[in-house]
Amino acid sequence: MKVLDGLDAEEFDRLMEQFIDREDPDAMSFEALDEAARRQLAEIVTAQVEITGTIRGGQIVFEQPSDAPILAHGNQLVIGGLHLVVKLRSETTS
Amino acid sequence: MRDLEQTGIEMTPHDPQTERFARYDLYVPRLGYGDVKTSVYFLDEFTTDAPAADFYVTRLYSTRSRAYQRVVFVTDRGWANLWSEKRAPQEVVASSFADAAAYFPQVSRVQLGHFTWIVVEYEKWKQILLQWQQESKP
Repeated sequence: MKVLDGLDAEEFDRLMEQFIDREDPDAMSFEALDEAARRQLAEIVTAQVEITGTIRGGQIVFEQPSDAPILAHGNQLVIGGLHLVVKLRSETTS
Repeated sequence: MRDLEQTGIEMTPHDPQTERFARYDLYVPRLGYGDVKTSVYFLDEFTTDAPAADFYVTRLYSTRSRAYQRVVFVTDRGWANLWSEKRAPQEVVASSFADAAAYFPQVSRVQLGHFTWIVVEYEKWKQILLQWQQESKP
């Protein structure tokens, strides 16, 4: 019987792989990862943030929300890598 | 790490002696910083705007083959760095994390909301890197 010191690097790696395959309590399947990632994404997407704005001179002016990572500036909102410019137009056109 | 070194892939492993708290396990030129994970505790990285690493090497269980498979998740940014005008991008198939293993050795692109991940079988990933590095040598 070999002790660990007597193993070469390749044998040691192979034994570790076998051990991990057999014992790893964190093992996850492709399907489980898919489900977990989608669930996590859904939680992010359903997070609700309220933003208040006032109409001034025919344009909306947003107030800076205090509880969300959103930057408000006039009629513009910066959310992560997304830069939104909100433009209003009158319902009746001449 | 040893496996990558034996394959001949150019990379810089993180040295725990000098960089005890480094956030990455290795650096591969052009591809970027990578982490080797023995579990999927990095799940949060899949839905963040700014993943901490450019790629993650891990191992998942495939119910189809009933075996563990080494797999690499690459950010679309890291993946794009491998290609240029002189080197056409590797073809990818649109897939999901659940189905990616069924397409191996083909490379999958997984869209999660507005996040894009490239899923590559480990051996295929090594092959792509090695080829790229050999072609890039002057």
